[in-house]
Amino acid sequence: MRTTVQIVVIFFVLLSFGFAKYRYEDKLSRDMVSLKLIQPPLREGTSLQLGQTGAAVALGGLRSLVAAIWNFRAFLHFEELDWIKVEETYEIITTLQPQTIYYWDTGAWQLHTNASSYYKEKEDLSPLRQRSMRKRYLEKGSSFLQLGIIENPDNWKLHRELSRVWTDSHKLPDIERAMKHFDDTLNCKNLPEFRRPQIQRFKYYAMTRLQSLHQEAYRYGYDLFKESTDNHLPKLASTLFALQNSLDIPQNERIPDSELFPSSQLQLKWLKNYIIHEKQGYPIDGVSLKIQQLETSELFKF
Amino acid sequence: MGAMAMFSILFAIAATALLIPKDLEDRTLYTILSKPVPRLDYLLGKLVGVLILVGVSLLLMNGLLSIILHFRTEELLLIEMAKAEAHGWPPEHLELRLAEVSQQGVTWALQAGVGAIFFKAMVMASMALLISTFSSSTLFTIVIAVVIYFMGHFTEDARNYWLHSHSGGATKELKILTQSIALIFPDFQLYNIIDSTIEGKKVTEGIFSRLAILTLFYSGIYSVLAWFTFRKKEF
Repeated sequence: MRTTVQIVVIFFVLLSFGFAKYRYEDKLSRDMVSLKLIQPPLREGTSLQLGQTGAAVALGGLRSLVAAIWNFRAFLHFEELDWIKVEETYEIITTLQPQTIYYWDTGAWQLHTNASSYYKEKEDLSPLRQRSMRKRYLEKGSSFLQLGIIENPDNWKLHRELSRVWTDSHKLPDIERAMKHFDDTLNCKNLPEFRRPQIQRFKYYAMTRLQSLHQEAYRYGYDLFKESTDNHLPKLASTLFALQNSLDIPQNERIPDSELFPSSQLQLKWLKNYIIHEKQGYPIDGVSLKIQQLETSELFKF
Repeated sequence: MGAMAMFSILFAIAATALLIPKDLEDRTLYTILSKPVPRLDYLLGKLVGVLILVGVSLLLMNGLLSIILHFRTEELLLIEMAKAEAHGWPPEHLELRLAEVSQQGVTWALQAGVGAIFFKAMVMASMALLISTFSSSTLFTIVIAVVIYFMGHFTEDARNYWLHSHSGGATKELKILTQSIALIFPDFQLYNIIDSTIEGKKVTEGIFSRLAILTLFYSGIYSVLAWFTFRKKEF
């Protein structure tokens, strides 16, 4: 009897003190989540999806361990080419560890590259269905990365990954869409300064692939070229050369070949390498002609 | 770090649960309580003993971890520097890589993570002490403490459901249940900063001291309640 009374007293004391502490705990928890020291609470329904493992997840400190185990499980689904399960598994994994970029990146890659390619090569589907499924998984991968960005808005790698997805010539490139992601990458606070010129160059290369952006691309590429000698790269020089021809830039406003290319031998080499990528949509105006001219002049040297 | 957390919790629960029954079995308890030793002093002495033991074991494990991690980090830094030299990385790139590697080495954040493990063990030990004052067996104390440990990891969900959920379909009983869990059980999720400290995320002094205050709050209440049940207990 005495013990029962004592337990009841303890219960009420804890309840009363609970009123003193719950606001404190709530504020501390929200502050720690905002500082990314602890994980945000699981999304509604995730515990149900986890099933028995949910109990282990409840241990909190084991969230990373459970996510790692589910990552192995996702790999098994990948081997079985079960894309629905792969997608579901990565949804769970990223709910458990929303701040781990690796999981967002890998989950998206499974969808926009592996699943998408699988449907591209699935011969028992009609070409229309193939394309539709390919596009669907590409979009799924892109949406997955977008979710990752919502959780980690300052992470430039996820923005860059999105720009890669929409410029990849092996997928279904959408340059206009990629432009927004390039801008988002460049506007990221955490983008290291030494990476900026590289992203700017990638943005420029993407712009050159779209006819409607040629004028803008030329101005952008021109500025990059003039800005730093680090940008005096084969692809940048070759695209500028082609754009000058494509836009019919007056001779006196053009960057002369002698400035664009270190030597005529290298110009020939760079342009020859450049024209191989014609199918990717890069401008090639005047490139073949120039190659012929350079080859002829090289012959005369002998 | 995960092993340190697990070990410290198990040790805190098991060692505290055994304190009073062991003293009873050895008849040490009668000898002590027959002397003018206040029962609160006896309980606090026992609790502090367990905490020192947990603290020292954590320090030893932390020392070992820090030494291994230090050498491993140095090794990785050398590899990165060699890579930078071979590939001609710009100095800014190398600096960033070195900072990324060092961030996951021995840092103050890592020490704060170990501190949080100790805090969690401290709350569990004082709770196990409270349970052992009215429990009839060691096994009962351990089982109840482990159950409360699990419940403590749902406290955050319960509190969020109570305070921040706007779902209209919740029954009255469910609301009462979530409120009770949020009020009675400690929120152990707050102590789970191991993952972020491993990644090198900075634990501010403010956050660490607020965690320390919360720990003292719980330990204080559980110790006072333990004394409340133990003060007139007859053996």
